[in-house]
Amino acid sequence: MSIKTDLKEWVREHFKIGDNPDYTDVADIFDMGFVDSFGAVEIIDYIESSYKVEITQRDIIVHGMKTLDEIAAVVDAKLLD
Amino acid sequence: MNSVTTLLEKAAQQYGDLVAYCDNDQQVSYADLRNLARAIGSGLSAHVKFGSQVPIVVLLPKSITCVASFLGILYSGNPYVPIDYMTPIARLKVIREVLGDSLIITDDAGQKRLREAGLEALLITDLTASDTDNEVIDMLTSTVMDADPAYIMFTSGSTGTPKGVTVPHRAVIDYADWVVATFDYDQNSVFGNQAAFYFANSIFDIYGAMRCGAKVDIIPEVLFTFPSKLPAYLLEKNITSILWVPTVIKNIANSNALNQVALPDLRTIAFCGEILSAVYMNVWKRALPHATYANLYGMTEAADACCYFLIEDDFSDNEALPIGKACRNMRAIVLDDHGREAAVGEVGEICISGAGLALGYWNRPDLTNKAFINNPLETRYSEVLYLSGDLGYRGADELLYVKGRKDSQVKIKGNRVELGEVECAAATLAGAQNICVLFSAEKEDIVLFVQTDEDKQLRTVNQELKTILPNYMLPTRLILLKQFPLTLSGKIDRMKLRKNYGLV
Repeated sequence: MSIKTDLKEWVREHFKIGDNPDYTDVADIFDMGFVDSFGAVEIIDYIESSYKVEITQRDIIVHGMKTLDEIAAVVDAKLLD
Repeated sequence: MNSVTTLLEKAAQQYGDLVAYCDNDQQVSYADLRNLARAIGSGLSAHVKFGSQVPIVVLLPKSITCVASFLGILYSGNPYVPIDYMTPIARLKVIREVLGDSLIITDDAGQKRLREAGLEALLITDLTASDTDNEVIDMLTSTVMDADPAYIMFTSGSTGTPKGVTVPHRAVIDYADWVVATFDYDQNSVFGNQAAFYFANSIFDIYGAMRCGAKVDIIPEVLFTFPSKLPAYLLEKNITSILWVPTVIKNIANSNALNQVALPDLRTIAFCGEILSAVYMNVWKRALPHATYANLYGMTEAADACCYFLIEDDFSDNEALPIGKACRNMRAIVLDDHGREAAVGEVGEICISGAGLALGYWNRPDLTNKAFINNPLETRYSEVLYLSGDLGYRGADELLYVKGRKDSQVKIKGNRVELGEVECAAATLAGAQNICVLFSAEKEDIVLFVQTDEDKQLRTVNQELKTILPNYMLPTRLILLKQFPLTLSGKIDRMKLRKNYGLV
C-alpha cells in the first residue's frame, strides 16, 4: 500500500470522514473542516511514529502539507533519503 | 505634524541597518522599509488630492510589501484600510460602499478578481517601482495631525454591514510607547507575529517593534495549523516575544511540544483577543518558568490593548485571570445599568477612555454616537467614553475581570463575530424559510438552524455563504428544522433551541 493510501485511510477512519465525496487527494483537509488543529497534531504524531521520520517546521512551510498529496509527498521524500 | 510615519523616520535614523521584517522569502532593514514606503507614497501622490483623507484599501497577502503599503499610504497623507486578502468580493464591495470615495492597492491576482467584479485597483508593483519624490512626501505629511485617521479596520457589524473602526495617529503612537515601556523591548527583541494585519493585535507587533528598532518575524500562516511545530520555529528564529490569540497558546499547550524544545530566548508571552483559561497558561509556565506572562485586554476601538495584567503570582487551573488595570494614558471604568460606577464585585459594562480611543465608525455617525458617548460621570467638560459591550467587574483586589458580552457578539479564535452578521448572510440561503444562529462556547461552534423542506448539508450551505462571509464566520454546525419553536410573542424561541440541542 502506498503512503498516500495508508494516510488517506487512516485520516478517513480517525476523523470519521466516511465516504464524503469532497475528501480528495487535493482537498485542503483543514480548510474543509475535516481536521482541526488538534487533529493536525495527531496526524504529525501518526506519521512520525508509523514511518519513523521527523516532520520539521521547514517541511510544513515549504510544502504546505494541507492536502493528502502534499503530506504524502513530504513523507515519501523523507523515506527516500 | 505628528504622524505614525515619524516612528518609521526615527527607526530608519537610529536603527537603519537593523532588520525590520523577515517573512518567508525576504527581509528588509528599517532604512529599506522607509525607502520602499516613500516610493509607494510618491506613486500614490498622483492619485490623491492633498489633504483629502481618502481611505486606501490594501488587498495583499500578509508580507513585507503589505506593511510597506500601509506606511506608504500614511506618507501620502491618507488612512489605510487593511483587508483580508481572501475576503469575498461581495464583502469587499460592501466595505467600499461604507468607505465612499476610496482606492484599492492589490497584486496581479487580486486585480484579476476585482476586475471580474467590475472594480478597479492600483497595482502594488507599479507603486513600488515609482520614483521617490521626497519633496512631495514631506508636503503631503506636513499637515497631518495626530488626531487624523491613520487606519480604518473593519469589524463584524450586527446588522450585516461591517463597521470601519477609524483609529487616529495619536492612538498608535501612544500605544507603541506603552508596548515598549511595559515589556522593556529594544533593538535586540524579535517579535513572532501571528496576528493578521487586519486585526488589532498586529498594531502591537508593527508599531511596538518600530518604536524600538526590533525585528518582526512574520510567521508563515500554515504553521498555525500545526501548533506542535511552532516551538521549533520560535527556536530557529530566536524569537523573544509573542503576542498571540489564546487559541494558539491553548493548541500548543495541548500538543505537548513545549516539553520537546527548550526556548531560552522567549522572554515575553502575551495573549489578547479572548479569555485564556489559566490551565493552558500553567502548561506554558511549567515549561518556561522564567518568561514574563501578560494577559492583555483590548478591542479595535482602543487601537489594541487598553488593559493588561502581568502575571507574577501562581494561578490555579480553574482560577479566572484578571485583565488587570488600564494601560498608561487610558482609563477603564465599570458602569451599571443606570450609568453609575458599579460597586466592587458588581458586574457592569466595561467602558474605556483615553488617548488610544478610535474616532468612531467611518461614515456611521449613528453607530459612533451610540458607542462613543460623553462620560456621564464627568459633566464639567467633555470626555469621550467608549462603551465596549463587554461585561466585567472590579474585584476587591482593584483588578478588572471580564465576564462575557452584553450582546450577541462572540469571539472565535480571537476574531470578533457578530452573530447578526452571520444571520443576515444565512437569510439569503436558497430555500431557507427561517434561520437562526446560536453560539456554543464549549467548542466554539457557530450553530446555524435552518427551517426548510430541502435536504441541506453544512458543506453546501457554506459554499453559498463563502461568497458573503469570511471563513472564520462560517457556521460549524447545521441543524435543519421543519418548524422553529416560537415564544408567546411569536419570535424564535432561542432559549428552547439551546435547551433542545444542548448548547451551552
